[in-house]
This record gives sequence, C-alpha cells and structure tokens, in this order.
Amino acid sequence: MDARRIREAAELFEIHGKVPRVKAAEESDVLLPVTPVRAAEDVHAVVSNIQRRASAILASELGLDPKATMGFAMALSEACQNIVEHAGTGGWVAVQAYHWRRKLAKRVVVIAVADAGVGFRHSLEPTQSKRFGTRWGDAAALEAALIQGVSRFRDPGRGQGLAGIRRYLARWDGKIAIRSGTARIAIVPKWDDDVPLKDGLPAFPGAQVLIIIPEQGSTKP
Amino acid sequence: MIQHIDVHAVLQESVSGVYTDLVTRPTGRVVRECIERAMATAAGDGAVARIDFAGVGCIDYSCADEIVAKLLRSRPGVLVLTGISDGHREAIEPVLAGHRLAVLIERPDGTLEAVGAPHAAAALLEELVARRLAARTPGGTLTLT
Repeated sequence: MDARRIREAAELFEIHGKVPRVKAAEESDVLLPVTPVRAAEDVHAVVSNIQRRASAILASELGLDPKATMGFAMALSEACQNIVEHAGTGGWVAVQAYHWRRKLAKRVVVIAVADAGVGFRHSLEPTQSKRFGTRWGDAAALEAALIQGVSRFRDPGRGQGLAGIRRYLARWDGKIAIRSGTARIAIVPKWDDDVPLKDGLPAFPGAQVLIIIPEQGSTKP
Repeated sequence: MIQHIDVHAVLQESVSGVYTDLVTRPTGRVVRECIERAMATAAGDGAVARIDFAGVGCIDYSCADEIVAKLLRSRPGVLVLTGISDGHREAIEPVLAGHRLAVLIERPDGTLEAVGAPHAAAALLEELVARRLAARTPGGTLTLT
C-alpha cells in the first residue's frame, strides 16, 4: 500500500502506530494497483484498464479463453458497482496475480474490493429483515445477497451482479468470499478448504469482497 | 422500415467519448433513454429496430439488464441485436432468462436467433413469422423480411 492509499485510509480509519514502509509491488504481478472507486466513472476506468493490461496475462498465464477475460471484466465491474450502489461511501479495488505454490501449485488472479460503507446488513435491512425475523444479522444479510441474489432495490432486475459473478466463478472453478459486519460468507470450490459461513467475527464496517480465479487445467486435490 | 441504432455511437455521445464498455447502471440508463428517444421518433408500434453493438467492448450484467431487459419490457417495437460478441451474449442471455424474456440476435450472415428464456424465445420466433417480419429460408433459418 503506497503513501497515497495510507492517506486515503486515514480519512476513514484511525491508524495506530508507525506506517510500515512497503516495498513497491512487482509490476508484473499487479494487474490493477489499489484504485479508489467512488463513482460510476471510476468503474469505467477500472474496466478499461483491466482489459488493456490484463487480457494477455489472463489468457496466457491462467489459460482463460478470450470469452473468459470478458467475463472477468464483467465480474470486476459488478464487484466495484457494489461500492457505488450500496456502500454510501468510497472504496478501493485491486487485482493481482499470485503463484500459489503450496495450496494449488498454480497461478491465481485475485480481485479484492473493499469499502468502509454501511455494510450488507444495513443496506438490506429495510427490505429483508422482516423476512428473516430473529435470524436477521450480518450472516443472514450476506446469505441473502450472495446465495439468494436479493437486492435492496425492488426493481426485479436488481441482484444481477453477484449472481453473475457466481455464474462466472462456477464456470472457471473460482472462489468468492465476502466479509461484512461480524460475518463472512464464501462459495468454496473443491480446491479450497474455507468455511462457507462464519459469524461472530470482530466487527468490520463496510464490506470486503475477494474473488479468486485459478489457472485452468488440472487442480491439485 | 428498419431503424438502425449504433450503441457505440450513443455511448460515445451520451456518456463518454473515451470508454467503449457498457458498464454500470447509470451508464445503461442513459444509453437506454437515448435509444428509447430515437425509437420514439421512428414509426409506431410494430417497428423494427436494429440495435448494433459493434464496437462495444464489455457489457456487464447491470447494463444488460438496464438496456436490453428494460427495452424489451417497455415493448417499443421489435428489437434485433446485431454486432453481438460471445462476451456480450454472456451478459445478455442469463439476464433475459432471469426475466423470462427473449430477444432476437442477427448473426453476421443475416440469420436470426432468439436468445433468453426458451419459452419466450420460441414464442418470439413464432410471432415474427406470424407478423411476416421474418421468413424461413430454404435451409430452415429465419431472416428479417
């Protein structure tokens, strides 16, 4: 995280202690550096950048066909739009490629999106809390959004974004995890041993979305 | 008469002269409203509009919903999508299936295909033939008349 990002984070969080000096990330692994997202215009810029910079890497290193790279841009766009549409404040997105030698013996591309907004529970509360009754909370809100595809908007076309990301990840054996409030939900592919739903975690304002797409081909069991 | 609407040009004029992608709901809304205005100035009910997506990069699910699904729900006439890539279809098909809607796609060779919910797609093709807006070729495919 560079100095500019630290300054932006300091507008939202209390930062304790000395900020560590971090070595500049290797350019080849950073498909999209940590980028602020506040408005629809920022999403356009992110999608445009990722298509220009990452298409070749996605195709050559992850073995995704060109159709999948378009889907990647769609997934990235929808993840960023959650900030613009629901967070009520700005957020950040980054895309990096890693070589997970131990876990997968493969390269993966990771999209990380985070905001310090109202979180899923608060966003969905007016339309969903009654339906869940006493079960309502951060975990139920994440389940409603990711598994049931509900949205705070009553427009029947809403909720397409996360549903679309899920379809994309199902096709390419990817993973999504969302952390908001005191809960975390994940759709876990076979290659991973994450827990599908965790509750009672330390409270986190806003939301963190993590999307992982592995290199295509045989996966380490 | 078939009206031709160039979505890439609409995007460039109405939203951004820089980006070629149809992403985000606000972008989709602006582009749809431009298309609706253009269609309103053309002939009345039953008019065919060829909506050309050539030159458009990525379409996300939100824009597919905001543009294609909402245009179909408002039924301004018969929509035929052209210049559709595999990537575009990947966004449009599931969105329409979720709404139980279908739309016509004109392939580069001029043949028509209905995509979206299977029942709606079949009904759409039947309606086109019944209204003589499309005819079957000797090979069994459909083209606009």
